[in-house]
Amino acid sequence: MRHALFAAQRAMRDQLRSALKRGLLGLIDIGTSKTACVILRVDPAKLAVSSHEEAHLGGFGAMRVIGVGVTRSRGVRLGEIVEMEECERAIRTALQQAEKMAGVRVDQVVGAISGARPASFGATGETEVMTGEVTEADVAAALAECPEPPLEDDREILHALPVNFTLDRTSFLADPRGMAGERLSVDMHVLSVAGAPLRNLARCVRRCDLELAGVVTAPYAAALSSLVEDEQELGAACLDMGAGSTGVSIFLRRQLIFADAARVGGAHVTRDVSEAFSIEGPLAERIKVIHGGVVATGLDDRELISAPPIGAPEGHERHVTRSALIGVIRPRVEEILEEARALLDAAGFDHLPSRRIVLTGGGSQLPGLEDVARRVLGQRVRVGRPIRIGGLPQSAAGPGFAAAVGLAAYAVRPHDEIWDFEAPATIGGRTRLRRAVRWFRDNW
Amino acid sequence: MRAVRRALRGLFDAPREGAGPFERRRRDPSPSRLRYRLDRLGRRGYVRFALRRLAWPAVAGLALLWAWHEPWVWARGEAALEAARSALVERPEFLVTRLSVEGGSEGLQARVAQRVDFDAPVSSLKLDLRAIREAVQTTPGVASARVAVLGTGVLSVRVTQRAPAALWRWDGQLHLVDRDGVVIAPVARRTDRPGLPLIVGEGADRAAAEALRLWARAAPLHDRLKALVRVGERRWTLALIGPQQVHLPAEGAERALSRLLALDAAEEILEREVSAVDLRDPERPVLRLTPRGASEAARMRLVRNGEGEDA
Repeated sequence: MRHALFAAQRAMRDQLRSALKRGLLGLIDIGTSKTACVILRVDPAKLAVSSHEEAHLGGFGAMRVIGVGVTRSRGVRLGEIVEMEECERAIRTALQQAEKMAGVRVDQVVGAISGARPASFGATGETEVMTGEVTEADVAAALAECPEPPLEDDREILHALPVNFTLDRTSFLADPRGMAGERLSVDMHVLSVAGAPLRNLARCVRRCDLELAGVVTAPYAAALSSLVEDEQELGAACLDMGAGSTGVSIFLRRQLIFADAARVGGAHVTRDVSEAFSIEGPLAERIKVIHGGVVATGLDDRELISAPPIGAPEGHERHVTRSALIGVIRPRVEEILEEARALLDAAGFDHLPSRRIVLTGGGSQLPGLEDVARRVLGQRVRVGRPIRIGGLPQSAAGPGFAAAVGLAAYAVRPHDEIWDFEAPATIGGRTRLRRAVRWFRDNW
Repeated sequence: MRAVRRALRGLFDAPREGAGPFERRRRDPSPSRLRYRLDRLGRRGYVRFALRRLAWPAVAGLALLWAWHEPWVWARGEAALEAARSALVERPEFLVTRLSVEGGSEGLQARVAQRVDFDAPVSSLKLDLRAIREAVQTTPGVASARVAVLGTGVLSVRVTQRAPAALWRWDGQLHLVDRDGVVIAPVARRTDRPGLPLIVGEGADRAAAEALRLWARAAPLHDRLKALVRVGERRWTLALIGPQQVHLPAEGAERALSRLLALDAAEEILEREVSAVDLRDPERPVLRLTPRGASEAARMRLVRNGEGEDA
C-alpha cells in the first residue's frame, strides 16, 4: 500500500496534533436531520498522563465539553451533502452557537461522515523482521506490504487500521513493537468511502474558515461512544440508526473490523407517515417522535392523534389511531433492521464469539424497538446511549449524539492508522530532511 | 448591547414579501458569512483585547480631542460652568445684607460707609474683601481696618481712627495730619485746633515725626512758637512771634534746639532785638539783629568810642 495515498490524512493528523496541543478542538457531525457541533477543551498534560494510567477510560478524563450547538441540517440527504450552500449555513449556525457558549474560537474540527457508501476490506501484509526485534520500521514495512483495496470509481481510503499482528506463530498481538521474532504479518482493516461526499465535506468545512483535523465514519464514532469496553473487546456490533442512513460497525478486540451503512433511516419512516396520512413533513416528524412506536397494544386503537391532512381548511379535524400509526412505522423499521441484518450477515457477524448488538442513534429512541430488533437480529440486543463526557449538557446526551460524542473519543485517543507509521521508504536525503523538519515541528 | 442589536434587527429585517402582516415569520437562525467571519474574528485573542481594553479609551480620547478643538463645546462648557458657579454663589447661605462699621467717630464711619459703596444683598463670594479693605484704609483718617464677613450676613468693618497730631498748611489750605504726616481732614481755621502744632511747607508732612519731636522739645517756647517751617524739604525753621526765626540745621536739629533753649535761658537772646538765630553752624550761632537793634548797636558802639557824644 503506497504511503503517498495518505498525504491528506497525514496533514489532518498534524492538524489534530496541534489542536490537542492547543487544547481546543471542535467536533462536527453533519447528519441528515441535524448538524451538531461540540467544542472540547482538552488538557494536554492530563492527556499525556492518562495515556498510561487510565487507558481504559479512553482519554475521557482529560477533556471537557465547553460548547454545544445543534441545528437542523439542510442540504443533506442519506448522510451526504447535496447542497453545499445550505450545509455550510448549517455548520456556521451550529459552530457559532457552540462558540458563543464556549466563548472561544476553534480552528480545527473533526468531522463525521455518515453516508458515503463505506466499504470494508481486509488486507494482510507480511515482512521479515530486519533486526531480531520488531521496530516501528518493521511494522511500517509490513503495512506497506498490504495489497491496496480496489479503489475504482473514485473511492478514497478513510480508515486503514492495523487490527491484528502475527509474529511468527503468535497471533492476536495488539502491539508487536519491541518483541522478538522473525516474520511479522499484519491484518489490516481498510475502510473506503465514495470520494465525492468526502471532498464535499472537506470543502464545506474549509469554506467555514475551519481546518479539518480528521474525518471519521459515523458508525465507527457511534460505536466508540456506545459500546462499553467489554463489548469492544469481546465483539459487538453497533447499529447507528440515523435519519438518512443506518450505520453498522463491528468491533472485536477493541478494533473496528467492519463498517458499512444501509441507505435507509428514520427520515424514511417520517416520509412513510407523511404519505400514509397525507400530512405535512414536520407534523409527521412530530407525530412520529411523540406518538410513534413499533409494538401495538389494544389500548392504541383508542388513542387518537390529531393529524389534519395537507391543504385542509382551517379548523378541519382528522384523527388517526395510534395503532394505525404503528402499522405504518413498523414495516419500515423492520426493513431497516433487516437491511442491517443483511449487512451483518455479509460481514460474517454470526461467526463472532459474542454477538451483542447495540442500537444507538436518534432512531433507536422509538419505543418498543428493542423487541422488534430482537426478533430480527437475535436475542442480545440492547439500546445504548453514548458515554457521558464532562460538561456535556443533558440535551446533547441522548442517543442522537452518539456519533458526535464518539468523535471526541476518537479525537483524543485515535487508533493507530497506517499513516501514523513512518513510511519505510529508502532513506534518501530528502526524507532525512523531511524527518528533521518534522522532528522540529513536533518538538518545538 | 442586546437591546441595540434587537432594535437594529427590527430596523433591517423588514417583513419580506409573502409574509402577511399578522403572520409571525421565523427568522433564519444561520448567520451570514460576513457575520460569521466577524464573529470569529472577534473571538481572536488580540481582537478581544483591543476591543475590550483599548477601544473605550481610544473613543474617549478622540472625543476629547474633538471637543477641545470645537469652540461650540467650549462655549457650552463655559456657560454650564458659569451657571453652576452662579447657582452656588446665589445661595442664601452666602448672602450679605448689612454693613456694620465700628470704631472711629461718627463722621469717619459715615465716610467709610460711603467709601465702601456697599449695595445691600450681595453674595459673600462676590465680595472682594481685599479691595474693600484697601478702600477703607485709603479713606482719610483711617489708620487701619479689619474687614470680615460674619456668619449672620453682616459685612463688618472695624476701623481704627488716626489721631490728629499736627496741622499742615500747604498750598493755602490747612490740613489735619497725624504723627506720620498722613492727612486726616481739611481744617477751616487755625483756631479750630489751637493745641496742635502748625507745620508749613512742602514736604513738611513727610517729616511730621521730626517736627513733633522738635515741638515736644520746644515746650518752653510754645507760647511764642507760631509754626515749624520746612525749608527746601531739608531742614526746619522755627517761626516765632516777633517775627523771629530760628534756623535749625538739617542734622542735629534737636541738639541745636536744646542749645538755643540753653542760650535763651542763660542770655535771654530771644528777648533781645534779634530777628533771626542761625544755628546751622554748630561752632557758632549767628544772630541777625532787627533794624532797630542794628542801629542801636551802631549807636552804642559810637558812644563807647566817644564819637557818639558829638551827635
